[in-house]
Amino acid sequence: MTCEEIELRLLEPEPGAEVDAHVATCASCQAFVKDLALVTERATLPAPTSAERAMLTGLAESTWSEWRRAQRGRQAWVGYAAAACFGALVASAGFWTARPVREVVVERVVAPASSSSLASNDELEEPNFVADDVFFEVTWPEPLEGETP
Amino acid sequence: MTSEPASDGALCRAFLAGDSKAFGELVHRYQDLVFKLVRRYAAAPDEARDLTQRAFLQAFEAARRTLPRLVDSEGEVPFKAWLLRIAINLGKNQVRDGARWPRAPLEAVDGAVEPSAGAHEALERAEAEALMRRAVTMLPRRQREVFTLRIDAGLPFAEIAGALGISEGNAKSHFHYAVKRLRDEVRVLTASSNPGGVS
Ligand SMILES: [Zn+2]
Repeated sequence: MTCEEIELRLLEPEPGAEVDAHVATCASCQAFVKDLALVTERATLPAPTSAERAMLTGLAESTWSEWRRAQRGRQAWVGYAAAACFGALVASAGFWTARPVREVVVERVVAPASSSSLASNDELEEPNFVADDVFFEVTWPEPLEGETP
Repeated sequence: MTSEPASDGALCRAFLAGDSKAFGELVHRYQDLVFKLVRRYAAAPDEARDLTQRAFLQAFEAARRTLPRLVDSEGEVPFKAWLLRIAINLGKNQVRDGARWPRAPLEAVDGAVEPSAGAHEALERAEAEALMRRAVTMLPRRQREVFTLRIDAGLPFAEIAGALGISEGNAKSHFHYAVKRLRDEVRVLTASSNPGGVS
């Protein structure tokens, strides 16, 4: 085995007698053993303190509340989008028929779409939540067709 | 007779069918693991908690989006793999967005500095650890993912490989490169804090 192969074997919990025998006579691999221990020690974070652990109390409940809030926001957002589509349909019908009485109807139907600009922060946050690039780095399963941003 | 704990897949399907207890059980099952991963990137414990919650929300969103396939199949649901990948990416984004390291050495986060320790020594140690944390977050993406899943989450290479969709040998190789890179960082740090040359 080469030193490179030995070093990879040294990452295993039990490298084996063959590896031990090599390391015993190889200064380069002995140096790697020291480096591995040093880097591991320096990079390892202290265990979470009791104050940190206490932070997780009630996490499931608060996450559930947040999930429900986000889902309500999502439904509202979908509702606004549907209303806006419907409003646009009616608006185009009003345009093509060009009758004054239709214009009154258009204004009233379009209203929910414009009111979305006054939606609560909860509702406005939802599209960002769904479109977060972190989510789309999840590779299994792939996003459904048409969902890739 | 003890019953087997429900699989992640069974809990995901139950949650998507409206069972809030299944949601809670999944959070309880993995909250410590996710918290350990994101705290490396957080400036304060409450920020780590916030990142943990966001990781769960995004993983549940991933489950919701794939609902039709989850319901139709009996296959395993890689909920844990989703969580792990989301957590490390959320953490990395947190650093990119906030550039928090200089303001928050680890001791400030953990309250681990003992008043009796020499102030200078404590400061040096805090700086060295903060720089090391920064060096870890600056690793190339795959090296950082493997390294933190190994060191922070304590996962075996086989599971790391599964979560990242790479081979176990590949995972070890990335870890190996990360160790060598960080070793060089340690040497630079040691040389700069100890110009006399004693390491
Ligand atoms: Zn060797």
